[in-house]
Amino acid sequence: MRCTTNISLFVLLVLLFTACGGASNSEVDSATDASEESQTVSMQAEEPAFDVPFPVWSEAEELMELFEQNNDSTYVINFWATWCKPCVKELPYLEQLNEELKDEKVRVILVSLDFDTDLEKKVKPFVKERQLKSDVIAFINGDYNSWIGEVEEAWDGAIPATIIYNQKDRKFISGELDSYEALKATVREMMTAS
Amino acid sequence: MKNVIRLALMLFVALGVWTAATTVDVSAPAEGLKVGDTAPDFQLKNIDGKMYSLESIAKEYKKEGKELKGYIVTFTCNTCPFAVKYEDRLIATHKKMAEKGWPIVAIQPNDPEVQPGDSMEKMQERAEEKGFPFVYLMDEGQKVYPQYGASRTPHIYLLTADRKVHYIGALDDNANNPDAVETEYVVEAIKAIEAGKKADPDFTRAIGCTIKTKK
Repeated sequence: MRCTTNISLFVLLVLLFTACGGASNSEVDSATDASEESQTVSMQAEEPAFDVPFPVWSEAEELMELFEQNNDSTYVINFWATWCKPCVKELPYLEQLNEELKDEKVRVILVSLDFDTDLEKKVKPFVKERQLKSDVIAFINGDYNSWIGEVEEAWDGAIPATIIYNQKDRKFISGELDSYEALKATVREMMTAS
Repeated sequence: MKNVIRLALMLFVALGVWTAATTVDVSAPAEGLKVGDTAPDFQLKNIDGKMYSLESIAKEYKKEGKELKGYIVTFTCNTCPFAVKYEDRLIATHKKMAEKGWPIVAIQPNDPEVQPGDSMEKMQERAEEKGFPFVYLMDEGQKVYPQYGASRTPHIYLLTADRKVHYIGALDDNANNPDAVETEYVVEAIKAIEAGKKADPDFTRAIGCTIKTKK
């Protein structure tokens, strides 16, 4: 009896130990990964037509590339707009996630669906005032039906909408995120699964 | 020793439960009407204080000696910028199509306690300002939009007079810019139905505001 309990305790300790060890390793890798990727995103995105400090895309192909990244990062892609109250309300959750997991293999990307006429007068000051640290991309393709279903079959276009994916798993969250804790738990769970 | 193990086990179980509880709900596509289904009728209060149903609208047509061919049931509101962008086009579509037997039936699905700008009073103000030529009904208690499966504003369900659903989606293919519209989905769907054909497309997606409810 005594022997069994000792073994269980040992297993438990080993489990805990390896779990911690694994996490610290991946932190190192992801720091380099993340910086490389953010460069790629901003480079392919330059569009001189708008005087804004973030990429403005209009081609569905560009957007789709965000959902087809082949690496070991977990992507958290949130569709929002400055005019969308629940979106603005949940942006701090995404920002906090980006900040807390910045040394891990997580990429938070905020895709603004604001109207092109609002990019300079609304989105630009918004991004500045809120000091958004996550990657912001404005996507201005107004032929919504041509691309919403491509992004996510289950999405009918209501925002906010959030897609979390990595090589192993994909989750679609329609509507508001419940809380920061819930978002983080979901991302964590997906990171562990991968 | 036993106690330590029990504690560790309890911790593990608790951790599992906690993770499960805090994991975000992954919503399945909302249940609701699909093309080919028969839409339910309703009794909702209009901005003029009178109650309306699809049946009562059909009766009005009959009384005036006109034939009602169908309904452009439109879930919309005052407060969503997309809904606002579509106001003028809803008015124009109603003016063009109502006399042909296809009136717009606008329903405001947001809970005014969550979205005060969508109260009956505000709906009346907005309708007055814009001169809405169609009924603008309040989904009191938010009982109608879930039966239809509407999830955003604006969200359109095109029904024939027998309340059969022929098209679900957006009014046209460009919310932002009326001048850039290439396909008026609803008008095209009506043309197809009148020609005895199927609407194509019979379903479109569009960006819109979530319908506001108490959590």
